[in-house]
Formats: sequence, C-alpha cells, structure tokens
Amino acid sequence: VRAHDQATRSSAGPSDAALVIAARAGEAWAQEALFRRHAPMVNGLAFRLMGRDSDVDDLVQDSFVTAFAGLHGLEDPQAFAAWLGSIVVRTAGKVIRRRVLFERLGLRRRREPIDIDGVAARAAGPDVAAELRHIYGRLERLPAEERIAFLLRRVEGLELEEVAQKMGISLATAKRRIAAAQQAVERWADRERP
Amino acid sequence: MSGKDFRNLVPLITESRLARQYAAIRERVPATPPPRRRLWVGWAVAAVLASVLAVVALRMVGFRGSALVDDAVVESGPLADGARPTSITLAEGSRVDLGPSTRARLTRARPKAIRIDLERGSVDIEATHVEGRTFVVGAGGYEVRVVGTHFSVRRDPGDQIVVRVDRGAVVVAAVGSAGGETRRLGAGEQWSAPDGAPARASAAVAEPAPSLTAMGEPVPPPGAERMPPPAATVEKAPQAPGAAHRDETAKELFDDAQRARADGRPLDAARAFDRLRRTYPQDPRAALSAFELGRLRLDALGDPRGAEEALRDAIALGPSSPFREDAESRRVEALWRMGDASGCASARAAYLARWPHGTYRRAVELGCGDR
Repeated sequence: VRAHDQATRSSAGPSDAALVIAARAGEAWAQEALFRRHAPMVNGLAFRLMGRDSDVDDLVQDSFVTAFAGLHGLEDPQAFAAWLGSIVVRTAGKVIRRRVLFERLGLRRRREPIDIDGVAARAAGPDVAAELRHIYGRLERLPAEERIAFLLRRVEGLELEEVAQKMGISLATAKRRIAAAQQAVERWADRERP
Repeated sequence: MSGKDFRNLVPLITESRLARQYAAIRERVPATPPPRRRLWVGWAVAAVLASVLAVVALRMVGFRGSALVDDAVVESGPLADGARPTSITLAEGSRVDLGPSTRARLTRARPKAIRIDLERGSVDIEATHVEGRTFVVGAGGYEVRVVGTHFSVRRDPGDQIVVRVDRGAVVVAAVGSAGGETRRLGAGEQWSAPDGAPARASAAVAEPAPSLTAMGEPVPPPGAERMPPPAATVEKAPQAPGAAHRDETAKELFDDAQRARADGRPLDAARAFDRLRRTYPQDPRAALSAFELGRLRLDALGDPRGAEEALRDAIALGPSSPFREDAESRRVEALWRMGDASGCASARAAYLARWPHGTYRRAVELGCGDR
C-alpha cells in the first residue's frame, strides 16, 4: 500500500507540471496550489516517519521550503509528488540525526518518546494498532537511516527499489538497513517477552 | 511486509493548520525570480476586439456628441491578464469600464438621462456631474441612481448583485410596483443582495425620475418598491485609493494582497483578493483569491457571511482547483458561525459525499456542533 500516493488529492485541475512551471516563473498562486494539493500526503508521511504529531509541522515546513527552493532542479515537473516524497524522507532523516547529535552534545533535552498510543489510536483496527505498537515501540532505539528504511518498507509499504530511490541509496544498502532494523526490532521484542 | 493498510495513520489536519504551515513556508522560501511575462495572446486579442467592436458599434448607430442612442448593447470578452478593460466614454464625459465577460445595454442615452441595464458581469463607472441629468444602472430587480460619483455594479444572474461606491454616493432602489424603502450608499460602502428578480425589460423602462437633488441628498424615487433588508447586506468596503486600481493586473493584485496580508493588513488584502476575483474571473488566481478572501473574512475580519459568499465563489470559479476541498470545508465552518444550522448540515453532507476519506473529514464531521 502506498499510503502517501493514495493520500494525494485528486489530480483534477491544473497538472503538477503546469503548476511547477508557473511556480518556477514566480507565480505565488501556483506554489500555494502545489502546497494545497500535496500537503495531506506530506503531513501523513511526516506523521508516520516521526511518530509524533508535534514533529509534523516542522517537517512539513522544512520539506516544502526545500522543494520550492529547488524547483528549478526538478527535471520532470510532472514527477513533483514523488520528488517531494523523497525530500520528506531525506529531511526526516536529517531531523532525527540532528536531534540525536544535539542530545549527545547536551544541547537539547531528551526528546519525548514516540507517542505510541497516539499513533495506534489512529489505526483502523485492533490488528493494525497492535502492529503499530510493535513497530513504533522500538523505533527510538534505531539509527535514523535504519528507522527511515524500516518505516518506508513496513508502514509505507514501498518496494525495496522504491525505498532505495526515496532515500537516495543503493538497493543493497536499502536491503541491509531494513534487515538490520528488522533484526534489532525482533531482538528487542524477544528480550521483552516474559 | 505486513500487508496491513496504514492509510489512516495521519495527523488531525484542519484547514487552519495547513494555512499556518503555508504561512511559515512562504516566509522562508527565497524570493522567486521575476516572472516571465505571460502572453495571453488569445484573451488579449479577444478583449481588444471586443473593445473595438463596442466602439465601432456605438459609432455606427450614432453614439457621438450629444446624439445618443437607446438600446445599444455592449459586451466584453474574458479579460486577459494585463489587458485593459473594455472602456466606453459617454458624450457627457462619464466613463464606463466593462469587466470581463460583461453584457450591458445602454437602454437610454439622452443628454438628460443615462440608463445602463447590466445583464451580466460588472461595470465600473466614473460618472460626471451634469446638472439635471440622471444616471441609473439597472441590475436585475434593482436600480442604482447616481449624480457624479465613482462606483461599480456587478451582477451574477441568479446569484447576486453587488454595488460598491468608491467616491460620492448612490441610491439603490428595488424596482417594481410598490413604493418604499431605498438604500443610500456612501463612499467606501458596498451593498449586495440576491439576484432573484428578472432583469427589467428595456422596453418597460420609464424615464428615470430625477431622484437625486444633489450628490448625497437622495430622494426616494417614485415607484421604487420596498427593499428586502434581510436579504441585502451593506458593508464597509475597503476604501479604494482613488482609481489607481484601474490598470492593476491580476498578478499585481495578487502580489498586493499577499504583501498586505504579510504586513498584517487583512482588510487591504481582502480588498485586493476581492477585486482580483471580480475583475479577472478567468485568471488562474481567481479561485485561490476567492478562497483566500473567504479565509480572511472568516479568520481575521470576523465576517462569516462574507466568508461564505467568497468560499462559494471559490468553488464556482475553480470547481477542479486544488483548493476546492479546502473551500468546502471552510464553508461548513462559515455556515456554522453564521448560525445557519441547516446550511451547515447540507454543506457538511456535500463535503462528506464528495470526499468520504477527505483530508478534513474528521474536522468537518464535528463542524456543525451536533455530533
């Protein structure tokens, strides 16, 4: 399931390509149109990657600022949504790494844990909620790269090639990170079993 | 892979939250390069042709000097970005600018009586003061009577009529059988009412009564029927700085509005958005402008009724725009704040039917206070 694609609004109206071209030309309305069209997708992806509602706004803003500042570098304007998704993924990784570093340097107080109950409460059913508890309950212990790769595979439901593409890494690296995260999660789950 | 569906794993998104996010983004995005001049060649040619045809038609039927003609029809095409409006100067010096896609009938053009009946679209009028001459604009079931002023009348058949006065004063009167109440509008005021009545037939137009003795001193015209106060609204329109807006392009208006909003001048921003959507309804910014106007009226100006009108316009101007879902969700809120419970429920049902898994589904479900 590609939740981030499905959450994108209807493509009715001007195409993404048309909006990107207009936004590149300095048309503020086109930029806002791109935001309005893709904000739901970005908000959802940001929420699932960060696991906390309070982190969503910053990640959404950082991602769109990066995207709008780099619009001229987008080769295929119609591929705006996929490109934006990649930016969200990479920005999330940076945010997590930066926070970990600041905490280690004592420049930031210990971050709040992932709101597992809050995340699970948004689930459609008890089986989904249980799996989300299983996944998000151990995420904080994972390095940022493994955490992102793992979430893209397990929560976003991306194929391995798509995980690699979204993260800007090789397929082998994507497989390695996902496998490492999977093993760590299972290992911690075994330890926690009575 | 778990195979489970995590699509519902999203934060609570409200339109206000998205608006805050975008405001923060807009402040941080580097200045964009100067836009390339967009050449709306087709529209520009159409507008110019419409202007030429209107002038030629008027001249052919003898509309020159004081030899005015009755029942001449003037029309304008969709106005292009950057193009000047179709403009007509009457023999006595008054100037009439036709908004885009406007059709108006110069029902009576005599030295002592000017009457223009607006069938659709908008006219922006700079009327000169001529002693003893009456100047009337008919719009549906209403008349706007004036002596020497600058005002505009917009008519969307079946929807609403809007009169706005920039300088001087006008009297708006319902036309029909019974005499009764009229409404005087001064500078900076705007009046609107539903366009429920059919346009008055030109053949039935009587000689306009000399209903104004002097600017700002109206006398209710005989034959004017009672105004429908509950349906009509008068509001203070943001004061136009003279007629400087006459040549503003859609882009300039949009940029002005954005600047005003960023500077904390929501009234000025609302005025620019309002003018853009009315003057350039074909422009790609029009739907967004109407939407932003609705948001401003709802969030900053405390005007849910005006917001609802603007949001409805946003939906009409851009039925396939990326903002339609946002506009429909905010319209639910506007109706609720107006106290229109049934309208709110209806708008909510329409939203949920159209977007059963919409971005604002949860917020909209709670939007009418009865769930």
